[in-house]
Amino acid sequence: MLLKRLTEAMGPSGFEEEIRQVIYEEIRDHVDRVYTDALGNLIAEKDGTRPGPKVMLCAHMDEVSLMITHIEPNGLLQFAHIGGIDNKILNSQPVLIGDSKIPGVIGSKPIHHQSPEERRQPVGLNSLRIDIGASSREEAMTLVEPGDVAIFATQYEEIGERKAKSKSFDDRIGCAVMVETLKKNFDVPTVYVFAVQEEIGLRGAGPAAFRVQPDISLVLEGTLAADFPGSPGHGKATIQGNGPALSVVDSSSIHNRKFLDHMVQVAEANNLPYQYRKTVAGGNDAGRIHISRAGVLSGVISVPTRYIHAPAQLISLDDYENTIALVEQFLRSVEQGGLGQ
Amino acid sequence: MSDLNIRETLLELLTDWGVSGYEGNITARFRKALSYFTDDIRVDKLGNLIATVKGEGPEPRPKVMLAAHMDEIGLMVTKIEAQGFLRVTAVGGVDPRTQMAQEVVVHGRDGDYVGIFGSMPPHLTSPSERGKSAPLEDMFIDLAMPEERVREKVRVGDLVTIRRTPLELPFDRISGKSLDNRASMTATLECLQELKRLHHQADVIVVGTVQEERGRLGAWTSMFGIEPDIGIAIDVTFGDMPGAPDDASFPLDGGPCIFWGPNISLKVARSMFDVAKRLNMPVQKELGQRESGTDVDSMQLTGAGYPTGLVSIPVRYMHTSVETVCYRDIERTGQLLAHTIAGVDRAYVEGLTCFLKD
Amino acid sequence: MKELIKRLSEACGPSGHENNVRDLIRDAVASYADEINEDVLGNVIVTKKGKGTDRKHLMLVAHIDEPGLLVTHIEGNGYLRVAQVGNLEAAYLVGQRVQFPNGTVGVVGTHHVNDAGDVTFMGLFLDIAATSEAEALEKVRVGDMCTLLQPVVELDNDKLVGKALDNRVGCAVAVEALKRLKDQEHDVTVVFTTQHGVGSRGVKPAAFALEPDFGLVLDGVRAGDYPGAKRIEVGLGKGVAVKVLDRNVIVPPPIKNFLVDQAEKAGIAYQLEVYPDGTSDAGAMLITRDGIPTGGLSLPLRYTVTGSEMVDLRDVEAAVQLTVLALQQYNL
Repeated sequence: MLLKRLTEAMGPSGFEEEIRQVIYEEIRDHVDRVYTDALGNLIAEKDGTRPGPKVMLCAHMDEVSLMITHIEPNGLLQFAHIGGIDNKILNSQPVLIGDSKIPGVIGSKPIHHQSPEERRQPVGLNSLRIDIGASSREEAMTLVEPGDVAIFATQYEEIGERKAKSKSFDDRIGCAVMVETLKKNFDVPTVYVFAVQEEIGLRGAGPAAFRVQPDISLVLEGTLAADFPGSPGHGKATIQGNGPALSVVDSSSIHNRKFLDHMVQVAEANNLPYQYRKTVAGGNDAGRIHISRAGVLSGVISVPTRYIHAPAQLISLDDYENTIALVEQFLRSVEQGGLGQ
Repeated sequence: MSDLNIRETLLELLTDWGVSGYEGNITARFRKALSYFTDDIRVDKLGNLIATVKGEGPEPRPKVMLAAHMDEIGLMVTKIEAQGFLRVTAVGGVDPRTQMAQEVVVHGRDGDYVGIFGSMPPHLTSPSERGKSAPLEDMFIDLAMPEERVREKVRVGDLVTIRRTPLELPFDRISGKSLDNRASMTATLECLQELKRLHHQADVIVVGTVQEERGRLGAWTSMFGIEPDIGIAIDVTFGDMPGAPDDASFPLDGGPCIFWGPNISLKVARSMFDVAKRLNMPVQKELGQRESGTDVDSMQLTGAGYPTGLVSIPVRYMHTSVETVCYRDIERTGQLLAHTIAGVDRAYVEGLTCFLKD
Repeated sequence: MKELIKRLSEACGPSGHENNVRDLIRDAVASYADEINEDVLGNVIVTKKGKGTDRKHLMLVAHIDEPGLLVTHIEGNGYLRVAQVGNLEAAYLVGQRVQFPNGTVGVVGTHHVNDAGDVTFMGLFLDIAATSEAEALEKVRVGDMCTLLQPVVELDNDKLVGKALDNRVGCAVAVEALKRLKDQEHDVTVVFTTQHGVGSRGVKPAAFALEPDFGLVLDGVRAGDYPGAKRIEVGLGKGVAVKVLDRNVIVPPPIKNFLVDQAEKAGIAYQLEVYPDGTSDAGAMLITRDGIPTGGLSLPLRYTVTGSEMVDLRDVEAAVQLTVLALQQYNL
């Protein structure tokens, strides 16, 4: 199953080896060309039947994760974040370390040994260790070395009604939308960029866009859904089940109104649900792409994702399918000269 | 041409000054040193110094760029107060607590003037004031000249550096200001020296970059202009000190630190570890999870992206005027770079962008 | 020129939605331009060919955007929820009037707070006198942006007060410079840039596409000549400020010296700007491609970000003169 294969693969920022290979094997029979660049971006091209406009779709392969930074004499591992993680979600989580996916657990001092003051404080990285069962540094070094990366050990699973959870819907859900999209044929040339290093500063997409030189770009993301009890109407960002979210403004780009209006029109003409992403928080690869070279007309569509950057992230499968449909209709509209390019 | 005394060159570089954006003096000295190895030296539009040493391979030869920034942190005059006291702002990451009571040099349009960072004698401060450190903007420099003379000689925008003569310490240690990053510039000279004894296919392009301490500006533009096949930045990293984090504390004389993390090419890093092993050279692994804060951050992302590496020299007391390095680490860094470069050919370069297994 | 500053200042042009200002600029430069273009980011690109044989390409930059409030949500009872785009202070906004590009006017309100320091953007809302979501939707949509509504007022002969004088005054200087530039040697492209306030997103693509030999950036600089101001040795009425350093750029010394020398030779009043907290498009421009040597001239302004910025017209005139001179005498 595509979502399971994509979300369970390992892909810390800068260490995307496994996820890249998984995606490569999914797509290589469906595209005209596929290659990697110096940063490890995976770039697939389909020529179409017309010279332009060239559309670049982009989703990032990397996920928030951990790096082992130091091994203590007692065999416990110190670690650091790769990408933005709130320490509060780390306590008592199982992880997998390195290429051979050595299992470990994140532990801390038990509550019995904590003072009343300590119990009120969130547990910081200084108090958390990964335990792989080793009883000494030497023993630990037979399995792990500093610089190895670790991911959450979450399995993909469909739960509840039409929902699924995994460790990495941000942004494997975008990767999945691209994989489904590139199996379809379009008249216009399309380039699918599976980008590296988004979570540590939108680093992969800029060089990729510089190489690809698209006329139009569409970024696919898994984005914040905060439709929780107590969130005010303007604090939810997106609402799960209400359809693909169209970005308005975030910390990395201000939407092009023409692009946004066009997306709305495409959704409405095809009876597809959509919503606006109602927060300026967060950024994504569009921030780099839209100012690449002389500028690129860009937009972002996201699948609302609860518990983003945490070990169990939740999406609605309906939102996922509607996003695939909206992306296809968007590309059909470009085939018909939409956006005036 | 007699051989260059590279260690002596480092001491000379440490006596001179070149705050970000105002690297001119350092550029001139580095140019002179590089001229022992090549005639192909130029300065680009931003002031980056670019020296090319040709390789022996057939055209088109691979190009390896070594980037060491030439600028140092310093201060800039923001205001001339009554009585001629100067107010300053930091250029780069200056810790105000290391400036207190230091002798400084104010670099005026027509000459240098010695000044002192003024401080209140303990007799006149309360115990609670003594427990606090002043922000830089509240500190002042005393030029010991009347106000009108100060206004004649010094203007807003003039640069200020700490007045410090480099010191040779026992055990091959050197201490001074601006070892960040004159130590690395020196390592590139050691590299070129070593390369004279080796065969190398690739062209080596040594770049003294400008404005690293202010956002790695020079690295962006020099990388864009040169379009190398590999870019390696050389910078300094944290020498071991009590209280430093376990993973960012590198013993002096422990060898160069090879960076491992997202913002370099892991393939290039692996090659350097292999080379060190072959040379039986001690090296250390420096881990990063995000931007390293060095030129390599820009170099990797320039244009369509480049394979990059980062080698760092352990330095204690970073960003102070008593930064301390072990010279053997500088020599080793040069050797590590030289032998890594000697292994670069067309096929190696092509492998750097291949990640897929069929 | 006073009239032009007034028109530009009062126009609504938040970052990313600069259309109204763009239209005014296009009108203002029409008779002095060889060509006017617009790129994907909405930058207005005005070219004026030089007459020389060995022509350089000089790029003059002035950003046209200002901070704004973005509508993120419309409540059932017609109130609008907003987020900031660019540099604004929530507490300064309470009670201000705002205007959308389509003319819709509103008032900024806040959730009740006991301490003015507790005002946050999450607690701000706009009242446009709509009583339902449907009524509000007739005037605005989610994603629309508004800016402060503040008429320009004149204080004595030389001082103007208004919103967005940073950087509409710079825009006016660029327009006036275009007007006065005659038979210059070099090709000059004036770029009125968008999205400066969110990270110089307009100037980067423009500079990349145009590949100039030299850049000169016109922007505002906060003055330090009022009670309790930060220690910036820039004051109103003391001339145009020649940029030495801001947060993003250290101007290459040869460029700074060139500008200073031109000012001194021509007797134009100038001061030196070292402004560690300031931002300008110069930093982004400097590192475009393999580097574009870039300098900056700034207009001293008091009370930036408050909606009542103050400028001295004598500084503006000095800025125009030095800009024209720099473009005419360029020899670096």
